[in-house]
Amino acid sequence: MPSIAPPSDEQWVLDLWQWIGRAAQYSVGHPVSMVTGTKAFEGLSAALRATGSVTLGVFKDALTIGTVHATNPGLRARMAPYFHERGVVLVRFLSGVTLEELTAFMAIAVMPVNDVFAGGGMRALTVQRGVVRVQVEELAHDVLDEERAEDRRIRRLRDLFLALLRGVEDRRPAPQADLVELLDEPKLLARMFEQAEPQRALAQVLAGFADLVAETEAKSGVALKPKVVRVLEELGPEARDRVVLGFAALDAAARRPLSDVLATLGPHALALLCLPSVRFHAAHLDRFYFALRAVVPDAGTRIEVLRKLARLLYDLPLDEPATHEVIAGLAEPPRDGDMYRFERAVLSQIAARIRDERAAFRAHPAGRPPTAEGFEGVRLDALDHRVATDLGFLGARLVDFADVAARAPGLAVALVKIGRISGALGVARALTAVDDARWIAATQGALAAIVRGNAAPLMLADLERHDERLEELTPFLRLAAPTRADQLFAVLEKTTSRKLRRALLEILAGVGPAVVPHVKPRLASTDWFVVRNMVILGARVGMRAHELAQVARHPHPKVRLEVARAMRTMATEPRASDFLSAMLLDASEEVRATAIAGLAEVVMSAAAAHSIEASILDENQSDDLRRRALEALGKSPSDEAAAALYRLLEPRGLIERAFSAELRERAAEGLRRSRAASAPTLFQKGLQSATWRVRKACEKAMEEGRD
Amino acid sequence: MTDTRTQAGEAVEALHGLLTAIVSRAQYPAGHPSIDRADESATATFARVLARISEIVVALVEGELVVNDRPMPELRTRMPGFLDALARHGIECLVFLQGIEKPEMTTLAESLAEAGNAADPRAARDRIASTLGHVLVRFVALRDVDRSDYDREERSHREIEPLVVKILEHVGLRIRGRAPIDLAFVRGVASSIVESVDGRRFALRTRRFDEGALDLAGHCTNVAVMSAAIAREGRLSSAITVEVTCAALLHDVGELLLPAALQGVPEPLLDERGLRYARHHPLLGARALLEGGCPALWVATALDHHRGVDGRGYPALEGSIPHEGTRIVSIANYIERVRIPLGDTTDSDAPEAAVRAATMLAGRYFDKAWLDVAVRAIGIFSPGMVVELTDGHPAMVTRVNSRDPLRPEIRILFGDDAGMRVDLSEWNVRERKYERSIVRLLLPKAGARLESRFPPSDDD
Repeated sequence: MPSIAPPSDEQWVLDLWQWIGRAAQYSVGHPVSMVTGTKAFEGLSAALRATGSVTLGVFKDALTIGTVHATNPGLRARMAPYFHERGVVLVRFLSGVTLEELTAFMAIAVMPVNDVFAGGGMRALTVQRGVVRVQVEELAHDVLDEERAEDRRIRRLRDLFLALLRGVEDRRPAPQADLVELLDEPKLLARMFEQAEPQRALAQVLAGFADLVAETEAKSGVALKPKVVRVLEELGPEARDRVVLGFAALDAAARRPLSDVLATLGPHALALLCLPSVRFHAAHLDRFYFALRAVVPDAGTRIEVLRKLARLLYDLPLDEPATHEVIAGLAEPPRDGDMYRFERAVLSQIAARIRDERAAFRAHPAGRPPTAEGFEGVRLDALDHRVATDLGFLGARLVDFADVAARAPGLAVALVKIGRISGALGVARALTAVDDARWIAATQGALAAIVRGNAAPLMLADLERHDERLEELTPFLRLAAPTRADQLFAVLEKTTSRKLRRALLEILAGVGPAVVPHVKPRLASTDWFVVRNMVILGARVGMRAHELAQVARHPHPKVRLEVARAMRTMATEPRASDFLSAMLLDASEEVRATAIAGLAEVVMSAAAAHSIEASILDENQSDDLRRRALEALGKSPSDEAAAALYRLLEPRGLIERAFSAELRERAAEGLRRSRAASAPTLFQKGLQSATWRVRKACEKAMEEGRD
Repeated sequence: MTDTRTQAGEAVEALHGLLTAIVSRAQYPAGHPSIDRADESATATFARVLARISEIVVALVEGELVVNDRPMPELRTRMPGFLDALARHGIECLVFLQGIEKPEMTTLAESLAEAGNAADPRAARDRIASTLGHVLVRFVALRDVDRSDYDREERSHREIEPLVVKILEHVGLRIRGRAPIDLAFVRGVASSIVESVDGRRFALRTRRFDEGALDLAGHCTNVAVMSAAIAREGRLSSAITVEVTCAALLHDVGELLLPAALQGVPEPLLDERGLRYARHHPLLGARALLEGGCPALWVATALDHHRGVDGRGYPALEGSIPHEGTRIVSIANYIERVRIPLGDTTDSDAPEAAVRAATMLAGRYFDKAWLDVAVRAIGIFSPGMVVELTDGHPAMVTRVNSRDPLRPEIRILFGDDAGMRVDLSEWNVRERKYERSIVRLLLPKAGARLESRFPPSDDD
């Protein structure tokens, strides 16, 4: 098995890359990272001992170690793009690099891309951190002087803010310029307020600051309150909550300066100020409502603020469980005696609406796409049929159905013309199903017209495709059969569907002898199944035995079988037994068996009886067939059969096979049970026979009969 | 109950697992067992942590991670890879909910591990948002001011409805004359609708019921547009979508065959006798379409659009359920009808109520799968609706957000920001809420837009 280990001069680079991975997970100096880091350092040191310096060339999708391209896919596909994204084109490791330097370099390497560029790039960062033996060459980019100046300014403003806070405590007036400069940085000032200690006293700090602003405003005449408003707007949610709840705890004098600022806020801005408190304390809002009365003393304005606040609830993420809890808390209706019932009613109404109307529609991923199966041709065809049928059924409930029925033949023709035979069949099917006495004449007239019309041949020719709805179409086909027998015979000749074949045979049989002229020529068909179908149909529409006997020797056993079955149904046909007895010698066991069964049911001629007798005595026939032939004679009501049975009682020689004895006993039994008029006499004759074997067989049959 | 500090600590442990899954993809080739192990471990960790706390919310606020409302600046150095991944894909906040499974973790880690895509920086983020059910993504949406789309949407809407008026006139005449309907004409209009839906330039007209005026064209246009949008969202082909749209355009043609006093009157306003008559409109329409040579789907839709997937509804038929194309139109028809306010009201919760009512009927009256598709395709607030936002501004819905039906793209109508297109998914990471939301639908005045109605009312 070939080795999958990287070349040894690549291994330390790979370790370096692994280190970056670990560092991204655990920080650079984490023991887990340092295991890989130490390994990488050792590999690098060995490489440096050999070459003095090593350079890694960084391309978008390739990495070179010295002048050799790295082969490891991880280095090419992962490490190279990683450094490329950070603007690095070359990293040079010099002899003497220490683990500390390498660790410091790695701390820079794992910084997010934005931080790297915000810090001036990898090269500047390595220089700033005193890493001298790892050098980085990068794509040229400027570290903006403005950015450094901005950094200095922010630091100065922080100092200024702390000085101002100290001034508030000492009741020292603030220099106007400093205050304005700070107020012009509302975002920064808001962050400073958020971090001011103690955090619980934020409302107090803000109130003091507002007092300072008010004093400066009074002295200078410059409007500064709007700037304080902007600072309030920049406060984070937790800080705003602290301000709102803390405000109520201030005494009236301390509250006033901030109160003046809050009075300049509109209902929407006040709602935004209060929203965090509502979210954080949704389950226990009494404290908030108490504080709100201090923040917005005017009852009318307070209700307006609450209305705006309620609207802001729509902005909450409904897909988060935390929001559900908030909404559920807020939706609680006010209780009797609740001192904040007016306030609570405003919020609960909207919260309940959000809970009931909106929560169900939270963002959700795409589910299972539905299928387009219903639009396939076959399904649309079935739809065409179903709709046309339904329209017919339903139409019969309306008073204008006679007109609709009158238009149906035209509609059927129109549908057939545009290839919608299923629809046309649906129209016809519906007409046959209407059983309302009012419309019988109309539907019969319409159906007759359809059958006579140009659409019918095509509708009937299409039956093969409507296998599954044959049952429903049968009434229409029965109506069409007398007129359109030729089309139905054509379908019958071609169909491979057993269901359709059976249905058509049934329908055509219903027409009666009128179809015989269609049957006869088809008995000469070269297709065995056509011949078989014609035999079946012929027997049912009154064809005679001799007419069907022409195919009794058809090469296909299934045809011969149907002939045997057909003959069996011709109980009164004098020649049926002749044809059936001839079939006792058929090559097919099934045909022979059917012929025997038939012989038991038809009137038997003398020739047929002799033929059967010969078969029974033929030792080449199977024992089973011989038994069944005997049975057939026994069941036949014909005297010829009884005479044959009597003859079979006679011994055929001195020594007989055991089976002959059994046959004799069965013949005796058959004779005893026979319905033939001459059978009792012949049986008595057997009982009195001079031949012991005949007499004994008859006696045995009689005893069994008694039992 | 665990306190915030413990919660944040446990959440960080879970995030660490996720980061390992992300980093493993950079360290090992695809299919390596270590990646699978990392995904499994991360899933298990999230499951364990989320069994104790209901959700983990990780927000990137001004370059620092805030976990379950607790600022954690130390993660900047402890998990730089995670910060980088979020920043790379423009994700401001991730919310992990109970029930995360391994395939979701795999998709999440794979998406976050991807290099930034300059051509489509939102690709990974959108994939997470649209495929993961237990990880929610929040981000800052782009805003722009571009009136061209607005004009196009308006134009497409105004162009289509007069064509539908013509179709209904044509069909009405052909029914009376017992002549074949011009299928190509209907398909031509349907194709225009499908094109506008494909280009996401469709708009619906917000209607209201005015007594004595049958706004059949408005209703049919809206239903056709909605049906086309649903069909396309359900990934049906253009050809099939055109057929479904045709079926939708003509689904209510039976209304024209009712006595004039009953035409277009919403069911709740009809007396028992009127209702009995009015409920013949599917049969009358379908019969007329069949006799006019219309395809089976159009006829079936006219017949079955008031029948449910359980086979109930009207007309009462046994042994058959509506075709899939009809089910689409049924949903569109129901939502369109239910959205219409009946009284002289100026306030409306009809859009939510309509979809909510439809949802309650899912599985009985509506096909659940298609109803889900419908909500994604047309949203609760559909394009063309004028709505009021939480900041009090009126705006017009311009584009559906398939991820969140309540947060479509809107265009501000008045004020300094007039014309500005805003995605209501826009997330305020500091406030942990959306910037704006829709409060309610603003209804047109009664009697508005009478000129496009078919048939025209007697007053015209």
